[in-house]
Amino acid sequence: MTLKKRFAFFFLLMCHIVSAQNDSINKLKEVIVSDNNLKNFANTQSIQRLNDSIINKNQSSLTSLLNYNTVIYFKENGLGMTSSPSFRGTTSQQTVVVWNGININSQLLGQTDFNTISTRGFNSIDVKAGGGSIVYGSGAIGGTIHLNNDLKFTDTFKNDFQIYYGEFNTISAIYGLTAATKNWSFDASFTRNSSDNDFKFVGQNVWNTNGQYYNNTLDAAVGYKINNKNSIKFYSEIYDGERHFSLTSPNATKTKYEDYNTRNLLTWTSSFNKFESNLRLAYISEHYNYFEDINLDGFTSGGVKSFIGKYDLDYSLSSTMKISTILDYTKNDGVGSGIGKSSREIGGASILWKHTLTEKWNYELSARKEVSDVYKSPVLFSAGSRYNFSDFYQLKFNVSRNYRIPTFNDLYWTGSGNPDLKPESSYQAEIGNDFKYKDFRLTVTAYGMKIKDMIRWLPNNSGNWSPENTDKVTIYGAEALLGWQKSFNKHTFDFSGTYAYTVSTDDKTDKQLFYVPYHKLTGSLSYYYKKLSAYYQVMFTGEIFTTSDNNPKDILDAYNVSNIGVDYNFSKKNMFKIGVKAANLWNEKYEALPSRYMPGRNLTIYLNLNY
Amino acid sequence: MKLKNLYLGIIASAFLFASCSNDDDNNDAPLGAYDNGVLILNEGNFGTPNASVSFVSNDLNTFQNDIFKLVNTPMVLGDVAQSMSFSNEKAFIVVNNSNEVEVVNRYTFKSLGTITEKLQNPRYSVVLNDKLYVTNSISKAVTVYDAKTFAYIASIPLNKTAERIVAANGKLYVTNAAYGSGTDVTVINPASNTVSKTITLANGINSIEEKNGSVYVLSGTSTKNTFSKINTSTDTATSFEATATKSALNMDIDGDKIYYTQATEVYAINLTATAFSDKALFSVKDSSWSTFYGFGVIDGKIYSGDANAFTSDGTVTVYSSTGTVLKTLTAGKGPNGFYSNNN
Repeated sequence: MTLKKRFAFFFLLMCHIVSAQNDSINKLKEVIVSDNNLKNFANTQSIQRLNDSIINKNQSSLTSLLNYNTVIYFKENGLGMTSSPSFRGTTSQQTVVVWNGININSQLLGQTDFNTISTRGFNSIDVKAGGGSIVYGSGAIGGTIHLNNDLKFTDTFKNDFQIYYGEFNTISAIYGLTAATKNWSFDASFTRNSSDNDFKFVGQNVWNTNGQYYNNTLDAAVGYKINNKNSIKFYSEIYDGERHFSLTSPNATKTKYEDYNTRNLLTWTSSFNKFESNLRLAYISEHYNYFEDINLDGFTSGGVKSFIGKYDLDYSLSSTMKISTILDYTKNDGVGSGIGKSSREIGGASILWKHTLTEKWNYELSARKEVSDVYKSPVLFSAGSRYNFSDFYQLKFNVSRNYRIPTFNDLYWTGSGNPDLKPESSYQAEIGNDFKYKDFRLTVTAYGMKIKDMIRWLPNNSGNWSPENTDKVTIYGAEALLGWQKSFNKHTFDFSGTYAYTVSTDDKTDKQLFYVPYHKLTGSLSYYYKKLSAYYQVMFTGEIFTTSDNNPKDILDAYNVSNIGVDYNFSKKNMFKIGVKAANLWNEKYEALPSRYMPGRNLTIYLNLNY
Repeated sequence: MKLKNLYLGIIASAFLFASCSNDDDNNDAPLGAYDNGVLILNEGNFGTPNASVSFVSNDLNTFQNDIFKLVNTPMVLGDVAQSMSFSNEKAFIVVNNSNEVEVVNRYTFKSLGTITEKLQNPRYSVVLNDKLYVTNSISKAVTVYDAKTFAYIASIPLNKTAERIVAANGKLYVTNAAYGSGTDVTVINPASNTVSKTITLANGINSIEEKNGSVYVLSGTSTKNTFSKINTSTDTATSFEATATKSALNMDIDGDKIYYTQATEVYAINLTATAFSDKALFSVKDSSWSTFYGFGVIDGKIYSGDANAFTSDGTVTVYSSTGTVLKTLTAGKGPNGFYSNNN
């Protein structure tokens, strides 16, 4: 009759977040990415690119950026607290965050906390819907989020400084330096975010308590072109953050959580004859400390250090046929309060084939098999095709099998871990339609998915909690991405919008999965006139079930949150921009999770310098 | 899946929205009297202040959910209601994650006050000589309050797990075990608020009960069950064990019988028994998980609280002693305990 405290904490992390203060402009653009595989083998799926201007117009957390610009729903435990996504009706662990081509989801939890990723250090962020396990591995079922540090090799020397100051003593600052020659390229930035986060709940005489946070991120990328055929790049990121977890009852024990994550990646790209090879060596680490009571010294901690080696070899049989192989090896070493000392090794081989039949028609096929000392993995595959009917209309089709492996906590948690867990696996199919007419772009994608062996932690009859392969889920839905741009005289209007309809049902109960809204919509309209720009942004999330039986008394109401901003560039040549924005303009009272209220209307002023 | 139809349907309905829905408020009026029945404590979801109390009459015909809220709106009970204890007309509801003890009139359920001082993840409580004793898991201490004024009096540090607590023969008995591990029972002398003895029993203590001045303790592990009876004059224990049956949980004494569960089975032995039973009274269908998250036996009726994995409202099933289902009720989130409330 006891809820194991440490498990409870674990569940806290498994549930999850949304940021309210942000604003953005969303453009649909052709994708040109540094990650070769994303460029070469994802032509039959839908990819949405968020470029640096969109990144800068939003709050600096990945939660906030994606919440206001994509179809992904976020389970945010209050502003800045733990946050996890639901992409295409899937669970938090079925969306992968990919950092410069490397899967960085936590090995302990199987997911990324989207409030521990600071967006402003990246040049672009791509959102790819649908399966991607062949290239990005475990968890790429609902979709993948790609964080890119692109390097340019043209003579450049640029400084960038941005500072944002808002209510609740919220500060976000970034300094970035970009320097490049024809052979060398260097890009680095430092980001700092912090907030007292003590906002008043809308319509209540209650304040958010113990919600303060800070985080620091250092990003660096260096590239060197040895010659025409060889180049070396090195990427590094260090994230250090501390969050207090806000309280849901006034006398509750105050807790806090610290994250320390490092990511390092060395790549060597080489081309010879009809071959192109890409060797990547990555070393990534994650570490947390959890303080059960901030007034005590004691804490629990855990971490995993991972080494990843990946070798891609592409061979062009002709100008229309390309074959690629990927060999990879991963070793994870974990140590922590709940998991003791444990490690696992995974080796995998993928083969990918791409064939352009005519100017209008191509198809892609790929398969992957991996071996591990811990679990049995299914053979994965993906097949897709794209056909251009006209300049106006293009049709895409893709079918794939994807998977998610059990996490370290699932397998090794003392007294509860289940070493017999199988990976979750899914089959999915999608049809995408791209329409393009003058300044207007529309992508409509419909998909269906079956997932089995879903891993869930359940209390059992021996008074303990343990993970089991239990649920089967059927998901179908549709997404629409809309873009429109119009200029006349010196006025420019830019509109973008996304909409998702998602039905995600448990096969046993035939009920909608909880924390998957049927409807989500985002929209943003930007206006530019000479050196003035203004934008208005809206996010609508439909009602959300919070229980497995979809009980109406436990529904979270739909919410509709708008942000507005305006700025002016005072500099003639460079950028000296001063702006102001209001988040949650209409002071909507809303919560993304029960009792996790979000801030009402609040103001931020900002300064951007670029010279 | 008819993908084609679906596909067209989805596009057609793409920009239609479901309207907002309002919470389906419980419009029931308070019953006024919550006596001659059973109080069901629903702990709620961890991290969400949605703990609640349900009431069912002894004849099982009158049932009401969320009675604390109905009577005391706009107060909320809080986050993880762990346990309840009684003294005269008062009930003390220990709300673990909220660090509160809500005090109510047990018959009207009107709030009488909230204790917060020195509570650090409180777990269980008991009243002895008009003093309320509360175990705390973070401070590993028993905190003492005046059961009439609710004023804080003292803390008794144990420096080890402080879980369940009962009073017997003028002393307090605290189990130093949680989550299926732990071997000790600490005896506290309430006159001096000091530890007078530590009794070591079999590992895996999960239940403790007082009956007729004696203290009964159940230990269950994955290898054996052990039953111990503490003589409260000498604070020494006599025990018997079984290795054929294991992982026993949920001891509850009703009349002269000791009830307990094992997986999905309910067992009963006499108070005077010297061995575990190898034959279950009955077994329940394991409808989901956590079938016996809550368990209690009151006047020969067996109450089970299925937490339904905490993803929906809990299910309370009332059985006869032979396993006939007398009533099935939809309670609050995570029903974890049953308390007789006769006047």
